[in-house]
Amino acid sequence: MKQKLTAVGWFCFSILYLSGGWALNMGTMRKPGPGLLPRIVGIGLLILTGIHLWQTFRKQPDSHQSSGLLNLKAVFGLVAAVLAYPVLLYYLNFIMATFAVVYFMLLLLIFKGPVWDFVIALAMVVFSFLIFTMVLGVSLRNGPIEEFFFRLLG
Amino acid sequence: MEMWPSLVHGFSVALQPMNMLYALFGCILGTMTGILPGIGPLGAMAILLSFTLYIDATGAMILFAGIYYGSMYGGSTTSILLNIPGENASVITCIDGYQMTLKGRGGAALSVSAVGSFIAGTISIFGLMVATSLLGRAALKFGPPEFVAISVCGFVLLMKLSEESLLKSAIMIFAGLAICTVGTDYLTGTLRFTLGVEGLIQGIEFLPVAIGLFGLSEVLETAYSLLETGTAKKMKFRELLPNRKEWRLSIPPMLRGSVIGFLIGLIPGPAPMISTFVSYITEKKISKHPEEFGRGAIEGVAGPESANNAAVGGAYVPLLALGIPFTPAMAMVLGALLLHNITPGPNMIQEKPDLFWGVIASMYVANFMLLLLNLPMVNIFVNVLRTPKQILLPVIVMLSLIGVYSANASLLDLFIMGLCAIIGFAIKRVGFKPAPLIIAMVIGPMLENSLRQALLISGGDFEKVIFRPICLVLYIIAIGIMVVPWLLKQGSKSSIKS
Repeated sequence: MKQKLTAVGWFCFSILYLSGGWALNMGTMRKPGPGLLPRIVGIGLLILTGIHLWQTFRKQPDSHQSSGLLNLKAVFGLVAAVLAYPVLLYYLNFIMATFAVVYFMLLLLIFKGPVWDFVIALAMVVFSFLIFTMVLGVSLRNGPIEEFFFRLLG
Repeated sequence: MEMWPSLVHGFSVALQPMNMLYALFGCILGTMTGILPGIGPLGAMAILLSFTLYIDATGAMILFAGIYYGSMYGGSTTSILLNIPGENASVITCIDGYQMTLKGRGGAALSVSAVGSFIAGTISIFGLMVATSLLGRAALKFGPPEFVAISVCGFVLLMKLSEESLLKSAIMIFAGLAICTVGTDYLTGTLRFTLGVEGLIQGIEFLPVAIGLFGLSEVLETAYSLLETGTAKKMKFRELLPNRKEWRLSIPPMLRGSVIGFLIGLIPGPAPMISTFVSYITEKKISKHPEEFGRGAIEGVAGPESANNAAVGGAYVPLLALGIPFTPAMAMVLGALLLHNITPGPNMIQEKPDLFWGVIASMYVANFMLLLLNLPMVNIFVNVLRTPKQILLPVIVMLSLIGVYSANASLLDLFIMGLCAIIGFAIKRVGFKPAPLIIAMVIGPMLENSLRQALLISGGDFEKVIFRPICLVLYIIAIGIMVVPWLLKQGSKSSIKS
């Protein structure tokens, strides 16, 4: 099933890409335009993903699919944390957003328990904030808490 | 600049305290990533890519060289002691290395591996110096058609030699080329595939894609499988010394492995891994006692371990001489250079001698550091396996998030990284490997520029683009690579039928 879904996904992507590339000006062979490579790549991709789709649907499903040691909860949780981070960063600024994500990950992966995880996450975030802003001079997304730290450290 | 004075100048750069520190940090980090299953050198390089912005280009290159060499050595430690290959270039070492450990000769296997890696590293660096100078001089005569031909030939080799199926590799290469067409066309200013998103006008950055596909997808993979790792028994220093017979048996395989590894390193694809297989098979074929292989033959450790280190030196040749990365690790190195607005290529030796010779000299330094550090510290490095995944994974994710954001202060880059992590994780589960995609993404802009320039110069005449001596040879090689194995297969099928 995973194989089939991936094959369909690739094929859909190639159709979308080719249709987008087709709209671009290909130019002439003497004066190639911005659509030349996208059209070559789009056609190639469509052919390849088409063959892959055909092969995948023609193949008998594998009787013994490896199940592995499943930990889908951790995977979904980590993905959610990564995708939520830009949104949290936008609204909560660096320290709060990073703390929320790190604490969530520690809880999700069951490290030491809620209290210890809280302390570890806080330490990690403050340490990384100091390293990035003070040592490396990176401009992170600042809000009132970050300003407080700056004032505290002079 | 002459080679030897240039190398001396390179040592004056490499032996600067900060550069020594980068080499040391790279070696330690590389060894640890080599030891830890799941987090490979590519993941480490991808995650550190954003941090190279805060150090100079020479430091960044030295750091990455240390990581790459260190990971090759680190991978062998767990292969020999625990039968766990830290990364794929150490898989073959498990066969005889672990058997030696079971016989109580694990320490000797580690020493042979370390010395072999040092010898191979030194030989391959010498090869790199010579080959890059020669190829770089020849490449000055290359025009856009030649660069198109090199790219096409490279892609064909990459498809053929990748670990996955030909079709899947080809899809990944085309997907990588598709990604690099997003953004503003540099010649006409036309927007391509930006979907009205302002952040995509500059194109999709290499950094979030690399970290997502290699760094974070490996984190997801590790979280998914929660790999269990064993612990090794403590090693006493005297156990590390091989006896006279073991030394005698090891030296020729080390030298052969070095040459094999360097030559295979020049070819696109997972060179370090392929070189170990070729070296192992070679040693077994020419051995007077092939029956010993698989039961703890020291040649089965010495050859492959030398080969994978030599392949690292070989892989640098096309990048430094032509500006074309043929392996994903080299794509990361190129990514680091591009972040510093440095484009490697034939002119780099003349234009950036500090960088070029400094990096080459630092490879010697890194190899020497690995030899000095890794054997006495083997017990400490093996303890890295005890690091709880529950703390390691959040730290890596946090560093990736901050690293990507700090590069451009772009929230879109964070979304792209997250998306790439999901895609990387999903496609790996169905047998696709992201390496060809990342290489195509890096080579893509050069291919497009060269193709359009070649057509403009030739007035749209394809004959003038294809039928140039060097191009023709490269296209014939590419066709040969695709057609000859197929013909041989058909031939053997018909002979079986008859």
